[in-house]
Amino acid sequence: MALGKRKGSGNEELPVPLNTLIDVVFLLLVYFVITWSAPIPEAHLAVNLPSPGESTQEDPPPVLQIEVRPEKILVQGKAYSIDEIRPRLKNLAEMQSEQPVIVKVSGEIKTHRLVQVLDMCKGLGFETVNVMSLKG
Amino acid sequence: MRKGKSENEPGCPVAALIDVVFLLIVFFLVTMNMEKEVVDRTIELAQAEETKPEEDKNPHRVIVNLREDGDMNIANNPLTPSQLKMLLYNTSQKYGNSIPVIIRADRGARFRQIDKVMKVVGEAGLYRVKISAISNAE
Repeated sequence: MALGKRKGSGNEELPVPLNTLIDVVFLLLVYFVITWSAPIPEAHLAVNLPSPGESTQEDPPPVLQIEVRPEKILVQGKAYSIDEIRPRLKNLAEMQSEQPVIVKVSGEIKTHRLVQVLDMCKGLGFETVNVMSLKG
Repeated sequence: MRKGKSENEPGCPVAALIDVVFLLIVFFLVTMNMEKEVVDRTIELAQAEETKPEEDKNPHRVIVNLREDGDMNIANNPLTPSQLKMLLYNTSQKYGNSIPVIIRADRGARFRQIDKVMKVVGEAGLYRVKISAISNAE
């Protein structure tokens, strides 16, 4: 069957309105071109809460404690600046990356600083990172 | 410049043109971001330099948008903490308590606001919480 022609019951042939079809198709194309946006790659940093079925161990494994305060960051009680903690955490990750990390965060800390610390922990290979609020 | 038409003049290949245009439309339809409506575009996420983008997308995951001023919404519907708790509780009853909750917090939001959402998540019986960031890792 030839394009643009339709077989009818009789001899009459109905032409497909190609110009209108192309107009509609181009309008669709313009719509999609305008509304299309590249997907933004989002990373999700896990900060799991204690699960309901999780039993409390009598002898819990030692944890690496990081405190994120407005003016400084403490790793195992020792104060560092954000630039200084990376080498310190790297050493600890090389020794024991399966060690759980607890990040205690002050309420005034902004998300970008928290993400910076969590991202660093994940990048250095720490498997379990938990976040909790810093009291006081 | 030529005047008039000769019999040998090549015409516009309409069929091929339509093929190409349809292919483009199919491309845009397939790659169209269907999540556009469920994320809050006013939120500016923090940057993660080392964490790779999330590949496993749980269809039942809950995305909570948290603005810089502490207002929260799901799919641009504003929620109070009690409404969020009810919604998360219903979700956990329906799909189990291992459903991940993703907090899309603005980079300028304070941790006490994130903590408030995390407490609500815990009270609703869920425990898998993730904080969203824009990944710059290759």
